[in-house]
Amino acid sequence: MLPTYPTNDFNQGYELLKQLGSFWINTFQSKDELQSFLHGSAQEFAQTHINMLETVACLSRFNVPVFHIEDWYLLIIKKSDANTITSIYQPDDLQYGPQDGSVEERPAGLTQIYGGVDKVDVIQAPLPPSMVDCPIVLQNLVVLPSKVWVKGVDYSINKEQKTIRFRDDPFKDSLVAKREIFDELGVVIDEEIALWVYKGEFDLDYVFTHFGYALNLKLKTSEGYKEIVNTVWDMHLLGASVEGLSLFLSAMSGAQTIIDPEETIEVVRVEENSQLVVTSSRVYRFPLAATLTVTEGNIGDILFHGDPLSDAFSISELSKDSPDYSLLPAISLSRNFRSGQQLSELTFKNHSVSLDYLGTDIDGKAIVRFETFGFPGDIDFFWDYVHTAGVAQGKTLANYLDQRENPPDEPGPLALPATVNPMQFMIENLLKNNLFVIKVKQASFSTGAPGINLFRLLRDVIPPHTTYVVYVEISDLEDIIDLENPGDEEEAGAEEEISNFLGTSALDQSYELSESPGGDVSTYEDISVLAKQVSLTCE
Amino acid sequence: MADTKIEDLNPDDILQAELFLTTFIKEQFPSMDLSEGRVLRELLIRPAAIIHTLEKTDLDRLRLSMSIDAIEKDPTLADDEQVDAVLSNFRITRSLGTKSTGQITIVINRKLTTSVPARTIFTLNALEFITKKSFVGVTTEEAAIIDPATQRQIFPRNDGKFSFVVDVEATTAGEISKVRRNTTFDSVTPEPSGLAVAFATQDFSGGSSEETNAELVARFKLALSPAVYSGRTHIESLLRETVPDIKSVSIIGLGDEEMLRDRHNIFATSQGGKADLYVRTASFPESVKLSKAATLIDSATKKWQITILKDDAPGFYLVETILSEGTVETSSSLEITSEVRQLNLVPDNNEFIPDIDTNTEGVYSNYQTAIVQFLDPESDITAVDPLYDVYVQALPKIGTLQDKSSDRHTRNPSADYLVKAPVPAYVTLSLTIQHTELTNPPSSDEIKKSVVDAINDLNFSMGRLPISIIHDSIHNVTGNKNVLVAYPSLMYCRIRKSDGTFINLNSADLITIPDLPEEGITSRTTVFYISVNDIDLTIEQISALPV
Repeated sequence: MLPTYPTNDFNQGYELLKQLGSFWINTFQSKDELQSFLHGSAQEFAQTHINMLETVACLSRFNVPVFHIEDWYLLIIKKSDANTITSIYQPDDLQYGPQDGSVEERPAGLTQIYGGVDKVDVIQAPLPPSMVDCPIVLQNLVVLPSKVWVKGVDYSINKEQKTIRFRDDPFKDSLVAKREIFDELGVVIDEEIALWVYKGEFDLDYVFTHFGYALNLKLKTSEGYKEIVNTVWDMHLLGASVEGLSLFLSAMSGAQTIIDPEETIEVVRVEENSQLVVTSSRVYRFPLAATLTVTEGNIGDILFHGDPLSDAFSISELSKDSPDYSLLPAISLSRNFRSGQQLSELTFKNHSVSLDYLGTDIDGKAIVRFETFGFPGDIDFFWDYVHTAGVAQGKTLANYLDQRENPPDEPGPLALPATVNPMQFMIENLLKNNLFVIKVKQASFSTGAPGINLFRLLRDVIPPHTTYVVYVEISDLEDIIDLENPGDEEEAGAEEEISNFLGTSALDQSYELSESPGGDVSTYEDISVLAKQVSLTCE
Repeated sequence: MADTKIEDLNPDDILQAELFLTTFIKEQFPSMDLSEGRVLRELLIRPAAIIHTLEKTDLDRLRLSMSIDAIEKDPTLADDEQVDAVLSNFRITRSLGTKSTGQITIVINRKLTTSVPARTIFTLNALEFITKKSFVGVTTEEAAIIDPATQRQIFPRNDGKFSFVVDVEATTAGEISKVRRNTTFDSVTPEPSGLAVAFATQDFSGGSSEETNAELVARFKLALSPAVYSGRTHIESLLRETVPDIKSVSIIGLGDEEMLRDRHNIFATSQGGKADLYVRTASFPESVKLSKAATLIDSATKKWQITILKDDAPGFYLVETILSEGTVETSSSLEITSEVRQLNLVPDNNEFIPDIDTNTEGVYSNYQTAIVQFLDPESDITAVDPLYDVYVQALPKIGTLQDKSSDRHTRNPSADYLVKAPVPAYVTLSLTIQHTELTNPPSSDEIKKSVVDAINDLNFSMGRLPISIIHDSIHNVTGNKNVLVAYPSLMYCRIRKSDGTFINLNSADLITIPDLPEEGITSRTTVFYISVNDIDLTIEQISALPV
């Protein structure tokens, strides 16, 4: 909502003067000066009023302001501080050397040098320590300004660097109040200008000071941080429901979910820098890289509180009927999920493979296996254990897979299923009742979103007898590495090199190689690919 | 909240308000002289700026006084009453601390009725313990005692003396008043007739300090969480509601390496549905006295056997001492020849029994039992079920917490929770502290207490005990640059495994809990324990030239 003027009697000096009585209006000679003083003083009272409202708002985690607002703040910039900050550029934002004049304010003939200003007359200066934004305008005067700088047009704020960047050098502007600074000998050593910031935003750590500390959760102050605090708070209060989890993932990724209990989709549109979803009560904005879960074909559809609108995250509940396994390409089980010796994870892929019937053991018990990836010794140990444990418990894996009713003997290949999906088998038979999957696509995260390191917060609220798998889709970039050929400056490749593998550190058990509990150790081999960064560009 | 004084205001804030007012007026009246020293500036604008700043500062302090975190950083923001009001927003009440209680054995020279009046003071160093009511040591048999609450039978001892016990309470709250078994008191006032000595019958229980603001903040997350079997904080909240003095909790579940109980399948792969709740219910395990009837195993060697049942001392760590009944408590233990831990998984009255397969999974839990064999060369092999005093070391309330976890009123029907005492890592230290002749020797008791507090406070945090923590705690006490901790300070650590063997570690720099999840030993399941008796402290004077 745009600010209005006058918002109340504080903005009108005459109204305040009237309150003093007729003497001050009719008889007192310097009534205009008095009115001006009252007006100015009222502005201070107005600020006190804002502070009081913020104090009251800080009582509620829902209403706590993210930033403190100063109605009018005198921003003083010293010339010596201007341009002491190194600019951070986006790719292709800056070319060093002679300019061709294609970029505004970088005229043809200008030679851009490292460490120099990037544009003629552009001034960049640090903001005061707690100031984070000048969201509307800067003025040279408060009451009747003769010069107004508009954010996004005349200046910009870099919240990461905490700097203000002017399009034109304000030190050269005759309408700006300037003051020279002298040393003890009376020599001018610096110059400073003063500008009034309207509705300046200051980070006083409201969210952390009043609520974040209770969760021992400190992040950079932002709306996202406030949302994270609220969603984690809710999960502490109410438990980790699907809706609570969805709202947490929304806050973590910056990808909004439906806010109101019920909303109807009205518009789905792509703009120059973002995508919009307009509902009956809200407007939701997403980065261009995000894939929306609604299209124009969904206009008129009703969505409910917590429903996602983009593919930034999704939750797959494996315990339900016919879960969607297509979300996962494979599942890897590490020491966190398996007992027994192992050098690395065992991986079970999500595709159909044949069930391997390996005959029977010396006791006539059928032995079966299916495709498993990992260190060969680990695989041998795993399947040996599966069979041995099955024998000890009176029912082997082959017995479990036997498709005959009341089987009279050990199953042969025909009594067993021809194929099995290793990942689905492991999930459905072991994990599905206590495991769910969270898929996140980082490219769809909003700029400045808190990010996936916040998954650690879920450990506190997810029931400990359950857990989740996070599947992170990191980017769409693809590269092909030909392992048959050595790489060169143009293309990546691989070269084989013999080196010692020292293995993991020994625990208190050891065995001779010939006594390995796994299979034939002489047949084991281990292959790894080492990726190296061979070049980078430094600007 | 204390009133803000003008001299406390930030000069920059006043200047900002002053600049605003002068600029505001001068914009409309450029010719008006509002410079420093002028009447309008000094008498109108500056006082107004000060008042505005005062109001804003007061509001700011009011806001900050609603945050315990801010109060921690600036204690002048709020008094205790205000802090407690803020805490109530989080459903938290500050624990004011508890006084330790226990029993004192009074040894007398003759078997005569002996009275100990109410408010008799037992002194130990600077600590005082009092009887809350009168006690009388009586010579009658136990069956003839009319009022067991105040009348205590006098028993003969095998040193020719006699003893009876009285109940006492510390006069001040705090852990410092927790007295260990067999600790002899310095004095008794008024002294009972014929007093030979007075000592702690068992480890005193209770005894906690008033909660600090920092400790309260650490509880906030738990206070938000309803006490139910849901997430980790909810479960911890329920455990702390059941046993308020819990020091720390570590919950191991699906996806944790240490979780072995959910792998009872032919794939040895986690299925979930189970959680192990490691609960440290006290800073240091207590010594619990059991009276057990023994069975003769071998008459030739006079080997006897007792069984420690699951309810005797749930989750106990060690069998410390076995004495024949009536033996002087400070006597050496009879020789223990074997101790075999077992599990009792037989349900009582349809109680829920967690799924436990091995001793590693069930050790230090409510379901642990032990068969202990020992030699008693002086015993009468014809005696039938002779009684022995068996002292075991255990954390309190492990059984209570398991009962809560298994109770159908609270239990999650889809989960199986096993409460366990943490794996114990017993620490002993050898320290030498040097001081110059110009400095008074530091207090040995204070140093030991500070070191013990620092180590026992580590809980499940890092799984590491660096010597720096010990040195830091010593210097916190001495606070004097003329007091040195001589190098090396030696740390020894013994971690008891589920099979009864120990992992022995020692270092002058750092003790690290090994990562042995298959044996249930990691930094998430193991805690350091040390008592003042485990510190070998030498304080020596060194020469230093006068400066």
